[in-house]
Amino acid sequence: MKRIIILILVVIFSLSSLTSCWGSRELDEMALVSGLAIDNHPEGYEITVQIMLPRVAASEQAASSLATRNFSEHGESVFQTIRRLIRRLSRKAFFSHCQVIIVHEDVAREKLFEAMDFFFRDPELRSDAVFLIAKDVKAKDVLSVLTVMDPVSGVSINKILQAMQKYFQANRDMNFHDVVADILADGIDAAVRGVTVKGNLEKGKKYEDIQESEPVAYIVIEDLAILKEGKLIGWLNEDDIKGYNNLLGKIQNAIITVPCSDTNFYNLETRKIKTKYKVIEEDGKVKVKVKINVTATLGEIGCNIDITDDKEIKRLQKIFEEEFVTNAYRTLEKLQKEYKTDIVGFGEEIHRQKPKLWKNLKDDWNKHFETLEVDITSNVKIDKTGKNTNNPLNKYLKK
Amino acid sequence: MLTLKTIKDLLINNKKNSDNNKPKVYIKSDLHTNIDYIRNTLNNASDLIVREFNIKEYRCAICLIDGLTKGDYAHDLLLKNLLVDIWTTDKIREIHSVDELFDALQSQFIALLDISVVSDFDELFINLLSGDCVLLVDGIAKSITIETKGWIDRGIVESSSQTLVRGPKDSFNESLRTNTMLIRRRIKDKRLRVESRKIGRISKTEVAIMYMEGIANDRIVQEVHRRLDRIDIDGIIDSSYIEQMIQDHAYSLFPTVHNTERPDTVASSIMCGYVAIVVDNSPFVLLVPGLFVTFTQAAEDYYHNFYYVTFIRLVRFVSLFLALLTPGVYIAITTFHQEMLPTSLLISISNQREGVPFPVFIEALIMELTFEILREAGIRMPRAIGSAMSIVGALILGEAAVNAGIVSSFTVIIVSLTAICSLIIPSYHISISIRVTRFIFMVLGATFGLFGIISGLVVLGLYLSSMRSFGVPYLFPFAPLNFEALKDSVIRFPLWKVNQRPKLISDNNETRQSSDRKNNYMGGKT
Repeated sequence: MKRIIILILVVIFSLSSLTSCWGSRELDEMALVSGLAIDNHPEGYEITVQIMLPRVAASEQAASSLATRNFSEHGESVFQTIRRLIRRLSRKAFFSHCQVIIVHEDVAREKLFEAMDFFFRDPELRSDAVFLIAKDVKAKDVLSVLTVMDPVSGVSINKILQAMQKYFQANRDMNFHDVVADILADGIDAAVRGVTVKGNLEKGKKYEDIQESEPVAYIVIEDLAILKEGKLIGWLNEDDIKGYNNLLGKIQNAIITVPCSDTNFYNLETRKIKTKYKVIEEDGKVKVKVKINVTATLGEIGCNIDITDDKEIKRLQKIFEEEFVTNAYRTLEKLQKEYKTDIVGFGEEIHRQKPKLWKNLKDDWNKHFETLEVDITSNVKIDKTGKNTNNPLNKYLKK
Repeated sequence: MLTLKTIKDLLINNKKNSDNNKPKVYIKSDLHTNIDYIRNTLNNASDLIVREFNIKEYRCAICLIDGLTKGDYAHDLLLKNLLVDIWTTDKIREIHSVDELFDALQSQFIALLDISVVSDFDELFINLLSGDCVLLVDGIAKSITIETKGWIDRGIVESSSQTLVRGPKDSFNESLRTNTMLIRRRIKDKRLRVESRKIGRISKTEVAIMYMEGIANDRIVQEVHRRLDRIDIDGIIDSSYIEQMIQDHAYSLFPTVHNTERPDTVASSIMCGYVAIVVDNSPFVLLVPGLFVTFTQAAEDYYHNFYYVTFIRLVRFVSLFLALLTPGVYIAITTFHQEMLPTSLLISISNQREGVPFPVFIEALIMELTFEILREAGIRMPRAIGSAMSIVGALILGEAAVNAGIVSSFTVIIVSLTAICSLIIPSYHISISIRVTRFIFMVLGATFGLFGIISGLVVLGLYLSSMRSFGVPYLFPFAPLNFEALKDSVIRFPLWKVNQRPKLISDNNETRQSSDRKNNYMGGKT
């Protein structure tokens, strides 16, 4: 009994002296960061953090006042600059809920690794934060634009990317995590979405902007930055992204448009795109066969066509197959000839399917990629034509 | 009614005689000596009735304690027997000696069921004070004890602590005989054993052990006997006294003896091999062994559709964990692991946290304690002020505390969720343990975060699996795993699939019923 009492006393004393709670932080002691922007600065970097104001963001006030504030600081190194922010925040910045990281294209061109090292290393940063490169505008300006759907623009940008990935255009590296993984991997280079601001930027930063029915400034996600060995070397435009998407086969629900006359189009809503790679070895040379399998719904018909006719559907399928293949070839050529960068992951595929062969190619893969022979075929299956089996144009356009 | 002095006397007697060499006081042959001895021992208690009368020329006396006997038995039947009916028999005319009278009294004259002959005063007093009538005859150094126990009890009413929608509504009351009757009525088998004994130096409370011979595990029955024998206490006021004296792990927070107010639960448990301990003056019957899983089951579980019951049992287990962990995990996540929350949830929590002066732990502690106070007040307060309490509790403490900014509304949600969850557990017994353990988890969460919570869970799991109740592992049938017994644990199989009694509890007779109902009625097709 005496021993037990002594034991209890020891525990109580040690508990009270070792106040513990190491690493504990109360919610009201930290500034929640929702977005991060990195720009060039003569001194080194200019770093902007977007801080959420929970009181506004979580209440009905969100409609009548700003839910976020941006704070910028500059310094020689990233970590130092971030710590400097404390002077203005009165709380320590908390990065675990950072939704978006935007890097200016100049930084991406010159010193992306150096700028990002802190974020690779720091355990606080969420790996699924969206990673973007600001094109033509400063990265901090992207964060400054007020958004309508979500009071916090960081959250809004994140959601735009999520939705785009599903319904519009997909790329391999949406998240910070993917970018890091692809930069570090062999046989593939990273490709990151670009972001820019359209409209009147100065007005877009003001609160009055979101009170207008048509925002004067808005954020646009466009183009795809190619990071060769971790450095920005160029951009793929919207047309190229189509082919890139076909090669990647990552997006499921995309709209493919093919002209049927000078002014009208057929629209196909894909439900499933599956791209298969087959690596074959021919006379000591590597060849990759790509097959794009598409299942789709006829989404919109701008021309006179009888959709109840099997032959017509087959003809349409042919047209779309051609579209898929030509787009893919065009993008591939650009990648091989102009940028000499494999952002699709052919190297990774060879590594997976012919590991022995890959050993020889591995060291100067980009050179091999330039001359890689790729054979692209496509198979489109239109099995649904929508609610309306009859084509109204059929009746009137004929005349 | 015993006077204080007689209690004191008994106490002194007991103390004196505890070393077992007290000289027995035998009944003398002289009637008046005996009556005087009884009167003196009870110090002329006002509820002692002594009625002297003659049968022929022989002097007799009936002693009884007023209020403990069934009125019509003692007064009407017994006296009418001895004074009036006796003369209608021929036998009376053949009696010529006291001995003949004493024999005839035993064999013929008393028209009541249970009589016995007692020759020493100790036993006489136990019988007398339990409510029996004692018949003394002048010239005979023995007495006849006539069973006339009977007093006013609460009657069989609906259970107040374990209510249900469907199923038998009767519940035990404070009378041992009624309670054993309720069980007997449900099990009409000759192997149902009722073994009783008196426990308590002063109170001499009757305690009955009920079990099925041939189904219950002999070792458990013997163990129950052994532990009951060991009890040396002055009085048993409620069955919980027995529970505390016989349970394994006396210092444990978790109960190892089950208790219930419902005869249907007891009957079905006895048929599974459990041993019931019925204690006089207590409407709660004890069941051993008490396993963790038995505390999470309600009587009604067997009366409803098994899909529904399985669902409800899962809900129960989930809420058991919620009741245990919610505040702790909430504290851990909001002070250590903010990155685990979805962003929008974090925003709304931290919105509520802005301006609250205390850390989350203190805040949650305040609310949890407040709730415990409210609950305790709800039980203790007079019924009439119940509505006033709910106004204070719900409106002032909940609503106003949030508006005043003392606590965040999220904490109020967490605390109310915990409270509701702890009320869903069928056994109040284990819900008490959960409530107390919760505070430990709150401290762990506040000091070590989720790491602390997980360590706490590991320790709790190890502790529970190290416990035993009457030799049966506490976490049976989960650890050790037993598939047959699992059929009636978190899930409940249909009745016709549970063909085996739980092993370890019933050791020697496991088959419960023929294998399948489809032999007989499945589908109703002929």
